Amino acid sequence: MTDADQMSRLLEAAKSVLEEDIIPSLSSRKRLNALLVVKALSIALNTTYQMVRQGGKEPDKNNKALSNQIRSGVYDTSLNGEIIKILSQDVEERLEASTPDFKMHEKFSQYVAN
Amino acid sequence: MYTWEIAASFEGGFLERTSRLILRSQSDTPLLPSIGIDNEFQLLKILKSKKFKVPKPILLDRCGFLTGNPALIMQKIVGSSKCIGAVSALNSLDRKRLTRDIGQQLGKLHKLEIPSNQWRLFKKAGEQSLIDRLYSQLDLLPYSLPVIEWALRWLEKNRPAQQIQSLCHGDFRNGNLLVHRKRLTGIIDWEFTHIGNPLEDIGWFCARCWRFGNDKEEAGGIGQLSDFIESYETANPGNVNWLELPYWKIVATVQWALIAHRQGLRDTSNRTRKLELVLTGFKGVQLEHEILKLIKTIKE
Repeated sequence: MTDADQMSRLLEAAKSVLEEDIIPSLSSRKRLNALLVVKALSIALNTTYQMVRQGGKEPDKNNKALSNQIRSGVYDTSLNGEIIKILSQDVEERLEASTPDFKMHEKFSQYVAN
Repeated sequence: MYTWEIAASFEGGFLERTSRLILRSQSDTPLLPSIGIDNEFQLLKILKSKKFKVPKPILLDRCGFLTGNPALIMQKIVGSSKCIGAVSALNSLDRKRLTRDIGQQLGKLHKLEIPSNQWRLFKKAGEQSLIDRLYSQLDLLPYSLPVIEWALRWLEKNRPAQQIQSLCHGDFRNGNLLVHRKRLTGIIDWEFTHIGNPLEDIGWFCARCWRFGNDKEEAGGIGQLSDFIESYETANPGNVNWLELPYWKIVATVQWALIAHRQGLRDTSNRTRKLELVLTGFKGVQLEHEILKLIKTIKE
């Protein structure tokens, strides 16, 4: 799964809770504000769909190749070597895109869905 | 598993007067490592008889009369499982005492001798190595995770020589500990109990990802590791090699990363629940970041 895939799943889920569970119970004034938030989410969602269409699948292809190399032992003699840089760069980029606040303070929150 | 709290009133018997009970039911699709309600009930009986801080099991419904699935009823233990929030209000002496309570219980558990005819109740981790099980979980994901792949390879190559086995809780973290009036009152959720390396439980308990920001309190975000070790050693001297703990914290973080990625893909018709699950999926990359940091630290 690419970051764009994951992002679109998140936005879809959030939009659905907002539209179907929260908005119906709001007063008309607050409902208007909430509908603006729905609009904002829709824009973000469309942009993410576009990213998926434009080759969001590509990173997984690279990840698969790298994973295969690791499993077949290509990096066994240098598990603590250059590969750490490659992996770190990928993780940093994904953190930046998904949870930049974590990157800043590196604190795990208590929130967990069991 | 699904859990409900029940307020019940009894006349006579050991449950005389109103009792708070817990009904715990198996789900339609129990998770693979689950020992099942029946075994959990038997285990609670054993643990209660050995004076562990666990709920007293009362009734086993094997046939699913109550919920449609096998279920058990146990006595509710007073206490909150959100002990991390409560810990910040404790002074250092109280934290120390609570940490020692926890270390003592876990040390005692890892020393527990189960009659050989009852060991079959718990799936033996040795049947498939922990690393192999983690590889299987990784392969179930529909996408590749090179950091996890690399971490598993690293764990394989750096596996500690000492292989000891004992009864492990399997999900020993602060969320499964009940605290009331500054003391440990209960250990719950024995669904994943198995025979494995005792450091698996300790690594899971001490991993930073379960400390929820209380990072200085290395023992589960609750207290100092030295207090935990001291009380564990009093209960079970020389059982584990503490120098191996960093390795097991990495194992724990890899395990949690895999669970988080899997949760992010789970589907449900409940919209709020789905949002929760997708958000948990986002923890995956945070945990990958942590794994890299942990292994780099060991390397240095």
